[in-house]
Amino acid sequence: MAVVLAVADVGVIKNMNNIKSNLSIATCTLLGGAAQQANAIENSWDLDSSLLYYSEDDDRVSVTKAMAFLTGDLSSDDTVNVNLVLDTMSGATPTGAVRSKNSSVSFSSASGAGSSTIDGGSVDRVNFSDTRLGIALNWTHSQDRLTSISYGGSLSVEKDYQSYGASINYNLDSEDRLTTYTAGFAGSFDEIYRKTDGTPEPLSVVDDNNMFSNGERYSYDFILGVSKVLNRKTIGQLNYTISYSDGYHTDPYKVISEASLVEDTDTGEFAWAELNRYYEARPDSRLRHSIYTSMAHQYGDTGETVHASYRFYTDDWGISSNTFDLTHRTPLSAKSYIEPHFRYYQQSAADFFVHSFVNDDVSTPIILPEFASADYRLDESVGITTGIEYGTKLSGGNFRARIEFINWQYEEAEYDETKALVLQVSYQKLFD
Amino acid sequence: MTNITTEIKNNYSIGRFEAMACPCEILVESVDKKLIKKLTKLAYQEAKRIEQKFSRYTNDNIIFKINNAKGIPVSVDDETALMFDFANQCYELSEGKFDITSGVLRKIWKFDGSDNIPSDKDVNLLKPKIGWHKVKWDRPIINLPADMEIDLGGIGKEYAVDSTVKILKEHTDKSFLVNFGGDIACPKPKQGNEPWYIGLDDPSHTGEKSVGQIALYQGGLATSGDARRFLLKKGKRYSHILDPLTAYPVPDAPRSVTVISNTCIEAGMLSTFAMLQGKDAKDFLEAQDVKYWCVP
Repeated sequence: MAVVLAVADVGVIKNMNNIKSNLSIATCTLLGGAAQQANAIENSWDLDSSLLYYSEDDDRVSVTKAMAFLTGDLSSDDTVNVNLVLDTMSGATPTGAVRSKNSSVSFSSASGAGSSTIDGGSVDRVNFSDTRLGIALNWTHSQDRLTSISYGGSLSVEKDYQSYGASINYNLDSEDRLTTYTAGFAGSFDEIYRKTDGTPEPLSVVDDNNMFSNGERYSYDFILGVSKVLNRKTIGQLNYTISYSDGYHTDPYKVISEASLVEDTDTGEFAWAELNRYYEARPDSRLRHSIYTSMAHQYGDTGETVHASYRFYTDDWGISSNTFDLTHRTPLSAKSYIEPHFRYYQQSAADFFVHSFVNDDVSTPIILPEFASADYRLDESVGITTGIEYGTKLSGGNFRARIEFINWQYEEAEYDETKALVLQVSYQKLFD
Repeated sequence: MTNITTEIKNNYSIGRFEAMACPCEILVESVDKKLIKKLTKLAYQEAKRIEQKFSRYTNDNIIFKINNAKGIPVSVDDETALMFDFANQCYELSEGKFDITSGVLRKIWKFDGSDNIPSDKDVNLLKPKIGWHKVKWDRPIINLPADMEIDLGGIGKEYAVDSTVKILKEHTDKSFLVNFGGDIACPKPKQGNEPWYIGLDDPSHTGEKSVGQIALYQGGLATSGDARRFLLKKGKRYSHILDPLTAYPVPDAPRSVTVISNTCIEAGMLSTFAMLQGKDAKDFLEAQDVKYWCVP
């Protein structure tokens, strides 16, 4: 959803920065000089570019993300944002299969890799590489002093995924401009397929290679929000989002092992032996609700800012989650700040999540459920993020650098831990 | 127009007159007598036009009509509408600290160097009469609550400077400078990319001592703050910059702030906003990335 209300930054310096460029636009309108006006509009653009590196340990997924966010005013009533993202993803990702020692099943590779790849004789994870290009456009038009409407469009393309989206948001300010109400709608259409085209028949045996056509999914989001200036130093926000999606929700690469736990006679340890492997199957619709509340408060003489948020999420797949997020910005000088970040995320497992189809009696065929997935992202989990950001004002722009460590613990999944490192550097160029 | 004078100097000419209760002058990089006379006359006409149109001291202009409408909506012309749009944006950008309805505060705060601090009672009586958010401005209709007043004094002079520059540009290609009581703008540098030099008054020795010279190549320059306008009580100095949100002078405001920006009105707003920040004036100016001089 492209609904972000201005909550994140109540920092003094940032607010001050806007004043000159806004004033220039206001002045040009007042003086009505066409040449001056064009000049000032040109000057009011700002470009935020950023490079993000995400890396999971144990040679799992790594992503390099280049982002450019251009925002500018077309007129005193029209603001345009252009958001470009280029992701390069590679590494190995768990397939959902058990880490079996004596597997004899081959497995074709996930996204992007041309030939089948067997990782160290195991097939519980698969190498992949892909590139994603995302473009989003947003246009906000002020209807009058108190109302504005934003129109958005987005496109995202990968080798095995395409997504098209559109959104509209209506913002209404109260007469005193201390409260902003938002109502929005977003729709998207996604096409999902394997790199080799098509999607596997849900819960079919992998070796059978039964392929269906590409998956399609329609999603609809409605959002209602209110953001309120509680006092001169505090802003609060409350959002409710309901989303419904209809169509193909399955991950065409994820599989589930039919496995039995056997004792290694040499070591005496128990290990999974894979007997068979199935493609996963997820329901063809999903209804989600989420409530998000946040508060930003500035205090102290130097403008320390604390930003806390909580999000509750629940869906009809049985997943519910709680997210607490806390940042604290301390100015180091008039130009720089440091901002530690802490996030706690906890979710319950989807109703149809399984570690594997356990079969202790090989002679009896198992009865397959209607839906099943061994994707670790649908497991009960806790994720903790700790990080710190440093920002400083340079001549003509702002520089930011961020480092974060993320640790996820999964309850039942075959890979029960993910550790990741995030590094990001950003430079915001102000054309003034 | 008896008070217009012109003078030819070495390589430039000056035209002088009085308008908007202050000395005004035009400097032109030319020694053409006819040109300086023509430009000075145009400048005088524009300054007088704006003075008459937006002054609150006359009883036949749009401001008088609005201030005496007693709550009845008034329809305004395009130029006045642009002024209100601009004032509205300044109100929002300054988070309510720049407010064209705050002029009524002058009734109780008289900055004459004396110790006449108004009583809390006087201040509280006036407070409900201030607040642009209480004004219904729906272009071109303005509806001002009966007991409130609009005063464009905080914008008018700077606007007149920029507006005069615009008119003079249509009549000459020479570099020139418009100075209405210290609010200044020039549209382009002199030949050979030379600046105009402007003396900056020391606020405590007005007209006698200057704290420096400023080279102005092009753009606008404005100064907020005036050492002669203050109140002094029990050793505490009250600056003449009033915060409409408290109805009291802004504490710890600098004595004067001078800013160079794209236009005179922009410079004027930035210097005023800076004064309204009180002790944070310097931080504010730093963040704007403009040339400024701050006399604490």
